[in-house]
Amino acid sequence: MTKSICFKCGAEKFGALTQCGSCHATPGDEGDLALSLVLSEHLSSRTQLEVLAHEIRSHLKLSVPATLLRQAHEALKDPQLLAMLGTDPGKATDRSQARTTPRTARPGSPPTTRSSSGRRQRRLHQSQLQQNPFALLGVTTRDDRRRIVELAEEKSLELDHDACQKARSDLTSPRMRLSAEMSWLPGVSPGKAAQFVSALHSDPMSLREESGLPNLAHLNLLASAFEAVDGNDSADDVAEFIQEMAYLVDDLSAEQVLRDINEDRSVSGFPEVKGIEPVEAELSERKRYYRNAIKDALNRLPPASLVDAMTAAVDQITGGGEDHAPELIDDLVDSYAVETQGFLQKEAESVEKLINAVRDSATSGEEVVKPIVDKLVVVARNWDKVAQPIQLSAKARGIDHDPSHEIAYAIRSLAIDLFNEHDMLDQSKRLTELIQELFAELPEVVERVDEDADALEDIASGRQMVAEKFKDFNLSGDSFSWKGQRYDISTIKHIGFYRSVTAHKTNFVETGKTEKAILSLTVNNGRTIKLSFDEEGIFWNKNRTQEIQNLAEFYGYLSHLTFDRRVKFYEDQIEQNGYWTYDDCCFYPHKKVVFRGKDFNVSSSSFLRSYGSIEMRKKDFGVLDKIKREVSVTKIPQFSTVTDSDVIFHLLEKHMGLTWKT
Amino acid sequence: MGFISKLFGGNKEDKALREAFEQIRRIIEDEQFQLDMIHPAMKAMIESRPAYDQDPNGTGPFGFSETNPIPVNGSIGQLAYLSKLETKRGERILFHRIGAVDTIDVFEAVTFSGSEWFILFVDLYHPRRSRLTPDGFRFTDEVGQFSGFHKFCTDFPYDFVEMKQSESESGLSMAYIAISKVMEPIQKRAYQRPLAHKAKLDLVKSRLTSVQTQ
Repeated sequence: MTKSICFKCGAEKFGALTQCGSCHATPGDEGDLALSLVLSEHLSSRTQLEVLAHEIRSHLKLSVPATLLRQAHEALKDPQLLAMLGTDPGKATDRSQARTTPRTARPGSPPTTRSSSGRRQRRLHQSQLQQNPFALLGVTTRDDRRRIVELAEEKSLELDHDACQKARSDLTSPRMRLSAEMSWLPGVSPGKAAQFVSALHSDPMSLREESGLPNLAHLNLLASAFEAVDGNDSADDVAEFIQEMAYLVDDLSAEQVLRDINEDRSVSGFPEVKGIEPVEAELSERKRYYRNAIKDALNRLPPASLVDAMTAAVDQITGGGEDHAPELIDDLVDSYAVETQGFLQKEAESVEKLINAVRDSATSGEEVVKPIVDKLVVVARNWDKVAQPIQLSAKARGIDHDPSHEIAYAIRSLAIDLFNEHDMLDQSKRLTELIQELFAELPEVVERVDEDADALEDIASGRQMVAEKFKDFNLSGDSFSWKGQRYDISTIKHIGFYRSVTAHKTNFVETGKTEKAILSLTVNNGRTIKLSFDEEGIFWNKNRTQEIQNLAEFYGYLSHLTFDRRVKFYEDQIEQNGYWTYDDCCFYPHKKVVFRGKDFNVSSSSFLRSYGSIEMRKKDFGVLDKIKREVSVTKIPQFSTVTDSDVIFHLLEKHMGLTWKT
Repeated sequence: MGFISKLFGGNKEDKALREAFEQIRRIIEDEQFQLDMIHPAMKAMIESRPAYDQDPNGTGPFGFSETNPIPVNGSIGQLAYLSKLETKRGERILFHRIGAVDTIDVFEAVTFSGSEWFILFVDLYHPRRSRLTPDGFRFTDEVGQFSGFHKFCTDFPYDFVEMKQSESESGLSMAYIAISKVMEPIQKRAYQRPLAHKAKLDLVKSRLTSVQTQ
């Protein structure tokens, strides 16, 4: 029975239209039936079946050539087959079109169809096949030497004498004959061969619909039909045509060709070809000819169509670069790479210049950078469009396309710098998304850029969340506003936060509580900004719990952003003076705190922490000292911790070894 | 002048030869003789079954469906019936048995030129051959020398010559068509199964309850 794979689960089964032993699915509608025929050895090679099975199991779009589907649909018109399937002709529905749309079909692009009625009329007169010695003299592969000579004499009367004699010589010389045979239609009966040559003349594209032909003969016909491709052909159709050729080339068998040729030679009386080597040598020539026939056809297309056709062919046949391409496609891509090298190099230089321009202008702000990035996006897209077939092919072959890597990493580097050094999150994200779109074929790049994109997305969404949370302060980027005035966070030097609750009593009876919070910010010019919320009003009190809580959190947010800078303010003093000053005290690291000329050694003093301040006492603080302090009019030795409290506690621990249980 | 008349009306006076040709004629055409050639037990069973041209309860296209098989008289009757068929274009068929769905034998057939392929369903448990033909067929005017086998041919129909030779022991080989009738298409490898036919074969093979490998 025929090896097949299930259209639903990709499991191997026997018989194209039979039930799957794994998932028990049976093809029912015409679409599934046609697809199932393609998914069998009837229409696909074992290698192709493995690829298709992988695509089904991986839920990828199927790389089913439309020509094979058409053959399958044609077969499904057989009444006995329909009766066996229990399907009434005409009732069958077709879902295969949607399921097996070629991978690179652009949204909105019309499905490519080729029917004899809809086919553009064109004629071929001078294709390679029509100039073959067999065609020229009207000789069949089974005619003997005497008949060839006769026909050559006859044809000499109406055609060019030298050409006829050369054709005669080519067909009667055993060495030259093989070349003529292999560029003719080996394995095809003389009657059929004549029909095909006639079709090549009157309707060359009809030959694409032929099936069941020996591969070499089929390829020779198609390669000649390729000579009819012109600038009016759509890129998708040419891509499909290329794939048809590519699959056939992959299935070429020197043994089969040898057999076909020797069968005809046994009739014509020419000596059999001994050994496979000469056939293999000729096959190499044939493959070169097929590649050139396609290249010539592509060169007759408008440049954009040429690129589209190459991209579609490589994309579809490799499943987006996931699978190995047939040999012919690899050869074509290699030629394409050589021919587009100059263009790609020039465009790459433009990309590099624009990247440099963005870097040079980054300090001038986003308004200046954005138009240059716009231009960079356009040029990079242009470069990628042309490089796309090469990138896909490189991915399918498991090799790196160095120019793509270089451009991708150059743009990535720019994106990182724009964010890290200039905080241009939007431009950085644009470039990161551009790399993801254009260089999806470069796994290593994709992996890194995906991480970049995730990080940028986290940052962007984090900023969005913070902006939403602190909307009372109109937080945007690096600045906020309060009472109509905008402030830059980077100018904050000191932060203080004060929060208190006041209990209100009438006749000693508590009538309620109000809360108050003040956020005090000292900026570079020494000015202090106070952000405050107070529940206590002149006539009545307001509930401002949420606003006060937001202010407290805003304090935490600003403290976090400015921590390093504020710490540095004090650290610089230590470095310069050997101590830092804070609230009229001088702090000598690991030694003492000097308060109004009085030293409090770290080792012999107690530092008592209370809300908003730290009181300093000798460790042997006795009853007499307590009485003195109560009656003294001088300030108790203490310092406030309201301003930069996070920084101060950090410094006290780091430089004085002072910590408190919280 | 037809083949038989040529044989009997010609100059061949040899009695032994005439008897041999008579034997061939009976094998090919004589339904009772065909029945007599098979095992008595089998013959008895076949004779007990109804004789008709088509199963009155059959459904589906006649001869093309296992539910509406062609009634024939035993295995020799199968060969005789199928060898007598020709398409409306006048092409006779080569055939071989690929197995059975229950008691219904399944044959694959192809025209001598290789232009058309068929799958035919035949019920051999009847005392006489059907006088009807499946759609697209008629009975040939030629002598219905056997052109197929009630065996499976592994390389059908390219192994026709070998299969015919293998029938020499059964005494049927002389009732077969001349090899020259199909030699040209065999040499030209003209027999290529079309896709629809391959699909049908798959389906039929999946339903076979008995498979013949040789």
